[in-house]
Amino acid sequence: MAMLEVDEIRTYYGNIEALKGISLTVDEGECVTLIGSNGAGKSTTLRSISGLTPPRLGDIRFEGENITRTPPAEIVQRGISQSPEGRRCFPRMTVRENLDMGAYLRRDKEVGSDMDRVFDLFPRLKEREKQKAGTMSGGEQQMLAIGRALMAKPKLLLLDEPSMGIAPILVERIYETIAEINEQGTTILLVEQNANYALSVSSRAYVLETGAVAISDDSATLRSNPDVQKAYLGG
Amino acid sequence: MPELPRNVRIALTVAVIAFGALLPLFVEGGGGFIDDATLALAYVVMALGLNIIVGFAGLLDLGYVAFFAIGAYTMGYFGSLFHINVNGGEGLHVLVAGPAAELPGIHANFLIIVVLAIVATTVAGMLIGLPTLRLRGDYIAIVTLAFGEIVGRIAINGDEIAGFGTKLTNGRQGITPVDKIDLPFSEPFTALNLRPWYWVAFTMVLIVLFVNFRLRDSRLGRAWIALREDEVAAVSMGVPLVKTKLLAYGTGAAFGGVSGAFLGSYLNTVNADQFQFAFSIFILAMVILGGLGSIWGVVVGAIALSFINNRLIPDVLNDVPERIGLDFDLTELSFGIFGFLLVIMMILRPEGLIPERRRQLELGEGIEDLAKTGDDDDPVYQARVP
Repeated sequence: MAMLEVDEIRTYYGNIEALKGISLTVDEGECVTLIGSNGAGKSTTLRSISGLTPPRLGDIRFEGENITRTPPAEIVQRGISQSPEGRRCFPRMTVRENLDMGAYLRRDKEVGSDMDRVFDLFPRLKEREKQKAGTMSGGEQQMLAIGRALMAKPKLLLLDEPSMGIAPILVERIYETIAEINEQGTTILLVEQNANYALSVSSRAYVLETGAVAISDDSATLRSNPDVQKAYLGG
Repeated sequence: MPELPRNVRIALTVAVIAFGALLPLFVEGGGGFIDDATLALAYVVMALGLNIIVGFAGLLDLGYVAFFAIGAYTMGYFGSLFHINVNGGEGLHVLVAGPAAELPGIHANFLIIVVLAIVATTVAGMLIGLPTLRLRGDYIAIVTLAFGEIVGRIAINGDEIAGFGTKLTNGRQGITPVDKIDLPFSEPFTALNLRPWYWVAFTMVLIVLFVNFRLRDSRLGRAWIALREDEVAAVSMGVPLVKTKLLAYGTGAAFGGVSGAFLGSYLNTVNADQFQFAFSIFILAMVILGGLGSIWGVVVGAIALSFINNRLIPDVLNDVPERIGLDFDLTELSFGIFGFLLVIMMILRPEGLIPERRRQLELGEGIEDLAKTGDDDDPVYQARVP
């Protein structure tokens, strides 16, 4: 059984149908990516899973249990945490306070050691521990957003466009770290416009087009698919 | 403001508390100053309550007067002649001594009334919170403004709403007299000796300050600040939106209720004219003047505005128009003067008298803009960070 099963979900913004029946699965330990152009419904899919905009129809199951209409806080509690689109760090909180917020629902004693782990993954954050998040660069804020999501100790990590608006050299660093996080055992569902990076780090991929899944395949196969190359890889 | 060392802060706090506690001993017990000081302290309690809603949680509430009204009416209902026919005209008495124990109507001990006022205002606060949950910014302000107006209107027209053998309010006539506070081991609470009133108000301020500091540094306090900073991000971190917002409205309202019950007794009337929109603005101005979200700032702002309103304008400056050959009552211009003060503040010190750490950054360094772009190529960023 897959860790996450998304079954024919339809999500609306008002009367606009943003997702027109999307189905996907993520197995434990995998890194799966959703690629597609603007407005294809990638972020909406993540928002539906994390409960921010629940789907009107269809089902989402996590570890066999239906979480379609579960409130966001409980979804975090169950082990899904999200690094939202556009980073959304708390600008006037320090790096450390931001990371503390990531562990908001946790009451166990391992929060401290998890923070050390985040600092190991992103040494830059350690250097800027007491700095206000809003004064950092986009790349650093992205690291913070990922680190903050990790502080919830998720089984499944949702990453929304980690390369958006970030200097290319930092994108590379961030993607190395994403691979590392996955190797350490965290399952990842990644949304990305930059298909090159996304396909290099993931094992499987779904290509979304206007709210529906157009293609789904192994990342390696997709990279050599001429249509995908033409549409998303600049080839 | 630079962070003071810990022992300096403790010494400063002790000095302020000692000064506040001993102040009445050095002034006339029935005098105007102690009257103004007591009112100021009651306003501090309200301003600290509103600060939780507006300052901590970032929910602009323009109807705070409603909680003053509900607190004051709780006092009126359970500590006056208002329900004069209750128990066949014999009255109901709960743990009261002194003259009130002989009178008809419901008379409960002040501490019981305070608890009732807390319950009533917390519920009211959460009720007003419910319809605003999906709203943001200006829209919250409009809904809360309407709520304040509704409560104000009901207070005025309540003398024509009747049921169960009693009217809802006494309208503009007001419920008066209201029971004086009566506590054991204390000097009697009278209009001639205001010291015990002052000490009750001072104790309320201390308790409310303690609660405020504890809340600010608690998980809940962090959740409020996170919601204020970025609602979507906070929810993604697992902050329960509904519960956290309603708790902000509820606790903020409860402080208003405590202060309202006290003022009902202290002013000896619960009168519909007290509960109008201008009062919400008056309290909000205290919070903004002092510094949104800053506990000490709000205390200073409330004391300052209260003294300007109750002492400076009506007593000290009132003959100014006459002296320059004009014929009007300066108190009619009170709100014009407050508005002018706020404009001056916004120009000279927009973050308030004693700014909150985070707000200071926001206004001082334009962090908000940076956070939005945060580009590595952003020249502002490049200039700041080598």
